[in-house]
Amino acid sequence: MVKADQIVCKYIHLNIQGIEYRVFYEEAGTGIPIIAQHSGGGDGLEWHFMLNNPEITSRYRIIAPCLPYHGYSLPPESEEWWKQEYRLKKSFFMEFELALSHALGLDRPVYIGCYVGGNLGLDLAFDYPDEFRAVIGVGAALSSGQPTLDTFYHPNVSNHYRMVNSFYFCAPLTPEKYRREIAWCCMQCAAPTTKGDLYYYFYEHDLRGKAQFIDTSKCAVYLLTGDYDPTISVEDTLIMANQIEGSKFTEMKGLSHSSMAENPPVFTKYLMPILDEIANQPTKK
Amino acid sequence: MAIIEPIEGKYIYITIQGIEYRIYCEQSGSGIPLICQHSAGSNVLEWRHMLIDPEITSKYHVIAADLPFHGRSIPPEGISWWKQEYKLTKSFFMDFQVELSRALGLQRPVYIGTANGGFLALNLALNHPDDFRAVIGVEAAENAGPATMDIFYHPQISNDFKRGTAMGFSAPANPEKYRRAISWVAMLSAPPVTKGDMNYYFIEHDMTGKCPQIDTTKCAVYLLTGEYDPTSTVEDTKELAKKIKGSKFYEMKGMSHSGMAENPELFKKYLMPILNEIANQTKTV
Repeated sequence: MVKADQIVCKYIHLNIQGIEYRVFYEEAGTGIPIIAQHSGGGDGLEWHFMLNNPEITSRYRIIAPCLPYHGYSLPPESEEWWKQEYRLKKSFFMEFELALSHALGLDRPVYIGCYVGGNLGLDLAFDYPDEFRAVIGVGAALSSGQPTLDTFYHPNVSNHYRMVNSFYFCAPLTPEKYRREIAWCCMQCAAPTTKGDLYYYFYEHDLRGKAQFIDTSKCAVYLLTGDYDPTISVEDTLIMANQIEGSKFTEMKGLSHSSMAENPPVFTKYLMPILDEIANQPTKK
Repeated sequence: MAIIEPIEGKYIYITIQGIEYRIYCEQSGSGIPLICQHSAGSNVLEWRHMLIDPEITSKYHVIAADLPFHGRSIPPEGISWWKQEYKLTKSFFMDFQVELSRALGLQRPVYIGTANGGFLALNLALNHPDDFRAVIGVEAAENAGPATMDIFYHPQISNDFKRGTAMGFSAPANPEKYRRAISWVAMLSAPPVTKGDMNYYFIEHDMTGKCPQIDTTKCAVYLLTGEYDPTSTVEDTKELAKKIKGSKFYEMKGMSHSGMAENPELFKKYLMPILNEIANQTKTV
């Protein structure tokens, strides 16, 4: 028998805002469902260590999709998508997670996301607390300012730029093989995608004045931020955590921007107590 | 119920030339095994139409794998791969097919490949006639002549260049949705990959003087070339076909460089008679 991961990959057709998308996802494990959302310009590959961790898959069913326009989820075949600039909208992003959860028949899954996906965790807790039992926001903040996005998409800028970015975003003690792998995966996104994703990140995600209305008795909120992250600081996340009553924030020592992929053993150390706590909560309907 | 396609994607571990690789492999259907090899700087998405075509999957077990460093087959974890330039060699490319077939327990599969993969078909027929019952070379030629490859990998050239190239290679009557999709897929490779693949295409692939040694009674050889392909012309493939006794060549009218993805319906018109012929021969053996 050939040695193989337990991960199974599928293509599912999801209708989101009236358009059908062919969505790729990776799946492993059984138990409480978790949707694991990749970051801006990322791919479900970011979560492969979690998908391959028996300590997690023995109790959790992990689903790691590629957003449309990312990885193996191509742009929609029915649309003339090339006639407009790619932009990730908050409403689309949220409805994508709902459509995926509903299509797979998941019962109030846990949501975990990193950066672009981490911020979405908070938007989901605010807008759809009945759809998710808990959200885990990795590297999340109230808002991220409104910088120029033009450097992320230019014909004279190779995808190598992304490699270098992600390379230097890694914490100093990141094992080199993981640092190199993250940087490699960053290079594999289509040229317009990162810029389009950052539209959500920088322009549409803004929980200032709203975070205090998140009801963690309906949808638990966990926050994890690496102490070396140059994009979202521990202080940024703390400010938000202080506004969300009942949220739980953990600083991840020695980690940075892509913690689940840059140092899986250390990330798992911070993640497991959260997953244990969620698993031990009585199931609410 | 949401539509979930019959394709199943798995990660399998294959050792090639002493190094273990985590290989992403999609499979569907049952019957005669058919390995589908993507082209340079690409991935399995090129073959998505064939993987879900019931006319093919009812008779064929269709297998499409990402080569290492392509798509979801990320670089191997066990070596410091970043310390050397990525280069696809002929021996590695052939060994990959043989090891993939062995790992999956396939019985003398049919091999189909396009462009880079199309060239490889001839090397497999020459060097591994006992491992494959037939090869189908799409856009194949004896050699492609040496060329400078520097434009394929440069920090000031965005992956948008690959999209532009793929758009330009596409045949005039291709449906725009497919032309746009295949061009999108061309952007999904890491910057060093296309250039590295071209090492095989331009430098190592050379069938000059070797074609007469191919024994088509052991391994049948089919050749398909699109009339609009600017890389391997119909004349190039005709020359090649003349030198391989028993080979069968068909010009694909209206097609160009990436037939199975750029115009899947038309491609199928040319492919099905070949697949039917192979299936009928298998019955009589």
